Formats: sequence, C-alpha cells, structure tokens
Amino acid sequence: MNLDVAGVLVGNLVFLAVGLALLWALRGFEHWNALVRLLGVAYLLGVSAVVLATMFLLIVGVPMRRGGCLVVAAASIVVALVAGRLAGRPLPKGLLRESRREPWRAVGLAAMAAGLISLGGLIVLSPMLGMGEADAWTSWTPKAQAIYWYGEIPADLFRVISGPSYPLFIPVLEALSFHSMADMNTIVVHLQFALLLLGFVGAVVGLLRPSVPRIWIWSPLALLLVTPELTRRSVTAMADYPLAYFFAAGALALALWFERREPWLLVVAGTFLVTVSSIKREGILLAGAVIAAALVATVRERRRWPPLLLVGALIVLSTIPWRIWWTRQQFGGDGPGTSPADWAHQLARIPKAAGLLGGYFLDPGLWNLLVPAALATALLLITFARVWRLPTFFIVTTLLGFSSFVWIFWSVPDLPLTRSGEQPGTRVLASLALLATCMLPLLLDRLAGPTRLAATEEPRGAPDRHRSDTGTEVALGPRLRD
Amino acid sequence: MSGKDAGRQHERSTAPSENGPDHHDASDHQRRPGFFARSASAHEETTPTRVLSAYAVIVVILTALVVSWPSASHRLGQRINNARTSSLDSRLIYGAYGPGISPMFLLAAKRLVTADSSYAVVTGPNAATPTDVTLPWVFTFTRFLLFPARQVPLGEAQWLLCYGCDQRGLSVRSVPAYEESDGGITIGMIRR
Repeated sequence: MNLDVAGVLVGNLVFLAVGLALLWALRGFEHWNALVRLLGVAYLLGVSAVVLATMFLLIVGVPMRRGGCLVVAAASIVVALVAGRLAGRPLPKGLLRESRREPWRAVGLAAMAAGLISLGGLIVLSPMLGMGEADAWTSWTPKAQAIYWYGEIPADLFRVISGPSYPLFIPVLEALSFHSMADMNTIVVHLQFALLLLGFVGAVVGLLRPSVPRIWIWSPLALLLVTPELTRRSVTAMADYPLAYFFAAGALALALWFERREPWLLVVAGTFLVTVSSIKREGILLAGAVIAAALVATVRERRRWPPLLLVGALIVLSTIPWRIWWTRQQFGGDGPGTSPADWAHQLARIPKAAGLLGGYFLDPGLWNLLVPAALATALLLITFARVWRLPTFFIVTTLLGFSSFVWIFWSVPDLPLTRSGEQPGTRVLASLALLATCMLPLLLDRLAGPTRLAATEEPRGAPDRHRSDTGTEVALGPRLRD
Repeated sequence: MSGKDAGRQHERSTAPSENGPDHHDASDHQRRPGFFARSASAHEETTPTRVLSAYAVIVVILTALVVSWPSASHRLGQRINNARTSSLDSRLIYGAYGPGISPMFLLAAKRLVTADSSYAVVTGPNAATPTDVTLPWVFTFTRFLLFPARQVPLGEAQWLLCYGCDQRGLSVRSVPAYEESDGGITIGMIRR
C-alpha cells in the first residue's frame, strides 16, 4: 500500500471519528451493536460536518491548510463530546445477541455477499484509475488543486476554470484528500469517491437494520452495485454520485423520521440535505424536492411541518455565503443562462427532455430494474394496503426531482437531447435511482406487512425489557421471542 | 397468545398513525418493538396478496441480480486487471485520450515544466487535431496536469508549449527542449 492510499484511509478515519462523536451527541449509543451498525451514517455525517465547516471557513477568508483542517476536525469532536456529555448520552455498553427471524435468510446473505464483492472490487479499482471524465479535470479537480495549494479560494484561478460559481463541496473534499496524502495524487484521489460509496451503503444498511430484513435491504443494494451506470461512474472524481449518496441517504433518514420520530434522524437528514445543496447547483432543487414531498406526505400531520420548514430554511441559508462570494467576484450566474421568455420559445424541448430522461430512468441497461420496481412497489402499497405516507413521499420526491431535471434540460439549450455521445442525462439521474434503491426496502417491508417482522435485538439475560438504541425502554412482546 | 396474535393486537392499538394525525407519544413509542410494527395501522393487516406481491418484486430484483452479477463482475475484474497493468504515465494523462491530445507532448511537458515555473500554451493549425475539442482542451488539460505550474500569457512565461502554432509569428523565441516528428508540436524554454 503506498503512502497516498494510507493517507486517504487515515483522513477518512478522521471523518469517521468526527461523525461518531456527532452521532453520539445526537443520540448516544446504548450498546456496541448500535455503534457498529451506524458507522456508515457516522462516516457520511463526519464528511458533511468537516467539509462544510472547512468550506464555510474558506468562503469567509480563513486560510485552510492541513493543520487548519485537523483543527476543524478536532474542534468538531470536542464540541460534540461536550454536547453529548451535557445531554447525558449513554456510552456503549456490551454487545447484544441478535435474535431475528429473517425471511429467506440464506438468500439475503447471498445477496449481501454479492453486493460486498462488487463494492470491494470498486474500492480496489479506484486508487488505480486515471482521471478520464472531462468534468473532473476541467472543473472539480483543478479547483481542488487550487484550494489545496493556496489554502484559500484563488479567485483569479477560479475565473479561468470551468463553472467557477459551482458549489464548493467536492473541490474542498478533494483538497482535504490531497492534504491527507503525501502529494496531490490525482489518481489515488478516486479512492475518496469509492469510500463515499462504501459509506453510503453502510449508511443505508445501518439506518434500515435491524427492523428491515436483510433480504429486502441487500437485494436492491446488490443490484445497484452491479448497475452499468454506477459501476462506470461512481468511482470517478465527479459530483453526481456524492450528490446522489447524500440525497438518497437524507431522504431515507427523513422517511424513517416519519416513522420513528427520533430527532436525530431529522438532524441527520437536514445535514445531508444541506450537503446536497452544497455539492451541485441542482442540489438545491433536489433538496427542495425532498422537503416539498415531506410536506405533502405529512399534510394530515401538520405539526411535523415546523421542523421540516426549518430544515428547508437552513438548506437555503447554507447556500447564501457562497452565493455572496461568487457574486462579489462577478463570476457568471448559476442559473441556466436563459430567461423564461427564452424557455417559452423552446417549449418543444420539454417533451423531448422528458422522453430522453424518462428513457434513461427506466432503462434496465443503465439502472437495471430498480426504479420501476420501486415505483411499482409504492403503487402496490397504496393499492393493497392503503398506506399513503411513505409511497407518497417517495413518488412526489421522484416526480419533483425528475421535473427539476426536465426543467434543466429544457432551459439549457446547450444540453443535447439525443442519446448519442456524452450525455449528462445518464449520470444526473443517479440521485433518483439511488433514492429508489434506498426506499425499496422500506416499501417492500411495509408491503409484506408488520407480521413479517421478527425480533429486534435482544439482550442477553434480559428477556422482557431492554433499552432501544435511543435509550427508550422497549417492551419485548411475545412475538419478538417466538 | 401466539406471537403473531400479539403483534396484530398491538398493530390495532396504534391504528391512527399512518394516515391520520399522529397520536404517538412517548408511552406509545415504548410499546413498539420495531419501527414498522410501531407505526402499523389497521390498514396494514397483512394479506396473502400483499406478501405475495412483495416477494414477487424481490424475485424480480433477485433474478435481475443473478442475470447481471456474473457479467458485471467479469467486467469489473477486467477493469481492475487493465488498471493494474497500465503505466503510471498513461493514468496521469488518461483524460487526454478522449480529446486526442498528444500523450508524448503531455508527458514531456510534465517532465520539463517544474512546479515553480510558468508556461504559455499557444495553439495553431500545424498539428493533427483528431477531434473538435483537441485544441481548446490543450489549455484545460495542461492546466490540470502541470499544476501548480502557472499558465500565463506568453509575455510572462518561462516555457512555451506550442501545439500546432507558427513560431515565426510569435513575439518570443524559445530553445526547443521537445519536438514531435512533424514539428508542429514543440516545447521550448523562452529566451529573454
């Protein structure tokens, strides 16, 4: 293992440490199982926290070099530990013996093995890849190089780089990776993107377990990990997949908050959605789609609206510092570059854009069958179970997200509307495809019904009651022990 | 009471949660063993149709997985092998293969132009351009590849990266350090 690879791994352990401290402050860990299960969530949370903090410090003009980044990480850990201590969060104690009745246990394990093998292959491949995607070497990585080298945002250099007003999250993340290496290694930096994929998979599994059976979780995940589009692009130095990870994981956390009402889920969802709006320009549209869908899905539970609206406001507020910075530098705008009057003259692009993107969305050759399977399951859930909230949230998020992309392709005349050549439409839909993959286990679980569920974790020597992950004492009914 | 009966009874006791106003409170929460069971409603009485349809979806997913996993794994294995056998140089300039920029020119520039120096890129019609974007992307790719060396206007540069340019028409003279066979692509140190 060369030094650069080791450096990236160590840097990502720092992200994990920050995330674990934050997650402990938010919810505590009653036992080690919960901590291990939530490592993926903690990792993504740590990446969000450190990169967002570094990014905002850079925007306000604080120079950020290796030492500064470590100070940000250390300060985050200290603040989280103090907050957790003040909130009386429990430290993990002991291991719980897991006692579950898993439907199709062997098949679930096989799907998990298939998924992990594919994931492992992508991780092995990543630090050997050359930087082939044009957006990577024309925009994202040159910005990261500039931030790494100068320790600030060099406006003159940004001005000549493609898309200077694009959000900064990915360049800052790459710059942090460079800081963890011996040098700016533009080959090994791909490992950072593979680790994000690993973190995403871990986060999805961690959020869904132990309540959702393995077969529901790992079958879609394993299929996702062999989709032609994901295997081709997820470990490239592009922003589309990181955007998709935080978008899908944020939406999943929000969907679980509907069910569990545990505040930490809302905080995690909000943090991930703020991250989404800091990764790409369309991120704010996607984050807005999630919040709007959540409002629609909870229209009969309006007391959930204030926290949702607060998250929405934070998402918008988080984009303002960068907007002020690039506006003062007189960089080009971040809109489509056309006016509503122009759009009216190119209405013919709407059905073409919708047809093109819809074709990609449902194309088994790009995303296998994940999107149609999730949509069908949502409709089955509404039809057979008269369950509305979860499928409504998923369908409305998907429709709004899809409409956002159609608007982008409609309003930007430079974007091609044919399937030939290098077509960004295939990769921008990653967010919605990953959303479908995350929501499918939940939808299937609800469709199969609660009696399919088996036990959650059962502590040794405590047959009747135990504390849940969040410290709530939970009665174990007879059905949990059968 | 059997386990399933207890579970169903519990579901009925928490009926309004899904579609109506949420009446869950802390005590309600405490009764709930798993979060789906917790929010289960009367509407969620499991029926064979629902269970069968869920398993039908998962069978479709698993079938797609069984069909696609072997070929996807094979392709991934091939990519890993290809990446292992490719040279460091070819990985460094991998992005330049698409726009068709000369690999030898780029590697020579990487070798000659040091991190603390500056260079200017001048393009022209005297070099092969396999694609429409070859010439414009010479500027972009060299900025990425040679960073932190600074790409500057010709008058301020220490190195001239000429990609098909006509050197006789330039305001500076350079000592060639690299030249491709057709003479249209050269790298030279600028004389002041």
